[in-house]
Amino acid sequence: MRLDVSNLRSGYGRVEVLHGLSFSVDSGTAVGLFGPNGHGKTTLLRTISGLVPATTGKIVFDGKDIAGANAEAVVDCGIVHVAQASTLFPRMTVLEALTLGAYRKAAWPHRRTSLKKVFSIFPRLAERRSQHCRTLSGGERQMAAIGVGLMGMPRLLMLDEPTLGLAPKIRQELARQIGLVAQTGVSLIVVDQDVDLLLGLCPRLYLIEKGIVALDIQDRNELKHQDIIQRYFGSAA
Amino acid sequence: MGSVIVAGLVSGSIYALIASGLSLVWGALGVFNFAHGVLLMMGAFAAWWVSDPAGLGLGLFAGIAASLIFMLAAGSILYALLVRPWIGTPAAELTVIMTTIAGAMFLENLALYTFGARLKALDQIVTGTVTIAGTAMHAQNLLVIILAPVLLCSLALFLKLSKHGLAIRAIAQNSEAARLLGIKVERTYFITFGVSALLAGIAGVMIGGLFNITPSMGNDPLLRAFLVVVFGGLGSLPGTIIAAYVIALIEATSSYYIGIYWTPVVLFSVLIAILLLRPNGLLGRSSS
Repeated sequence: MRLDVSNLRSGYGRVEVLHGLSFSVDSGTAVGLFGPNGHGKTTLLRTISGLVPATTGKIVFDGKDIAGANAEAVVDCGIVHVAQASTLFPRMTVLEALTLGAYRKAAWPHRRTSLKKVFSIFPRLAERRSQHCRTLSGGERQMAAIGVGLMGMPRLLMLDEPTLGLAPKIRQELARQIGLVAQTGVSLIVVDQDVDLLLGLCPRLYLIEKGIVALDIQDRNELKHQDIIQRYFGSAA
Repeated sequence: MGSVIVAGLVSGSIYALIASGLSLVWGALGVFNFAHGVLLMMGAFAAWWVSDPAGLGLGLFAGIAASLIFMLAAGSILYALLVRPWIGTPAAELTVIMTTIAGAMFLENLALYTFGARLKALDQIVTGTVTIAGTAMHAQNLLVIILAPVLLCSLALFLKLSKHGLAIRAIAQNSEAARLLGIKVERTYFITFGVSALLAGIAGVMIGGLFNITPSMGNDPLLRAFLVVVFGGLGSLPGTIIAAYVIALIEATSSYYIGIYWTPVVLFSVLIAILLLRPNGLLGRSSS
């Protein structure tokens, strides 16, 4: 698995959000994306997953350019995107939603094994399996969303703000569980506002600002936490 | 009283089959298929043409089998020609009303032109009468009353357990999340229309065995099915099924005790009263 995004431009209608963004993800590693709101992190994930068409640039996944492919084709390649604050399927049970997560042809025959794996990472989902998704708490819903993503047996899993709006305690639990997901060998892209969380999970971080990669942090020891905070929030912080 | 209940259950079974197909398409695609009644008519004519000596004369069971296969194809073709080109365009739900009404008119007249206006009927699958709890009924009525719940349960199982059934519900509930799971939206739409047409065709065969087959036989059931879908709560399958039986039983009771001319007035009064109390229908959910 290798993802190379180069010179990617995309946006909504006439508004360009990504202005020639480049970054890459190596096999089996976790990459963290952070940066101010409205600077293109979510748009980047939506462009990779085929929800937003790329204007120009390349998204090369395992040697194949998937820029311009639709969402179905991207999932078929093994890239699964867990959307920000996804409500999943309100009137489906957790078990039904997880089962459907294995819709991808390559994942469907292995859905029982995948389910066991998901339940071992998120024991809470096993308890909630017959509850409708709409009745889940914020943290459980996020676990379900990640679990549904894992059911597709992704080679690259993209998580968009998995800890958004969660209480600190649940945030910690979720961070630990995302760590377990990373240990299964799947490559990860994690977008989050919580730089501490990203530092704990990802060997490599990118700061996305104004639609480009403003900073590529390959060795996190290189950069002190304070520097990131300063860069992120400006010198006033 | 017994015969009123039998009449209500027979109509309820048929309404439930027609309305659940309509509801399925509404849920997944967000459009109303006004050609749904014509699908029912085509199912009945297909079965008649294959089975009747005036057509191919292959017998009733060949006719029914052929009709079911024909309906899967008819539903897909109808979707491809009348619905698909407008999906994703602004105001698609309004455009599709026009295209499906146009298609329905064309097909109704095509049936009239091809088969003529003379009344036709399918043979009964089972003949004779059965007496249950002191009420005598045609065996065919009993068959419809038993078969419809079996079919509706199969539909529910298909939607709960199968990959494509889950996909239909996923698209109805959150289409973006569905696309992010790699659900083949186009294929799922075809399957939705195929299943919906199949249910309409089965209802057509049932009506064809109980009443007459005419080119306009689908119009009245379609109107009832709309009532049922709205009354049951848009997009709720259990609501649709309950509403089908409630409406049919109200109709049957009112026809018997108040009279057939006042029945629509009674029916609509009850519906309006209930929709005032529950604006989203019996089991409907609020749009939030």
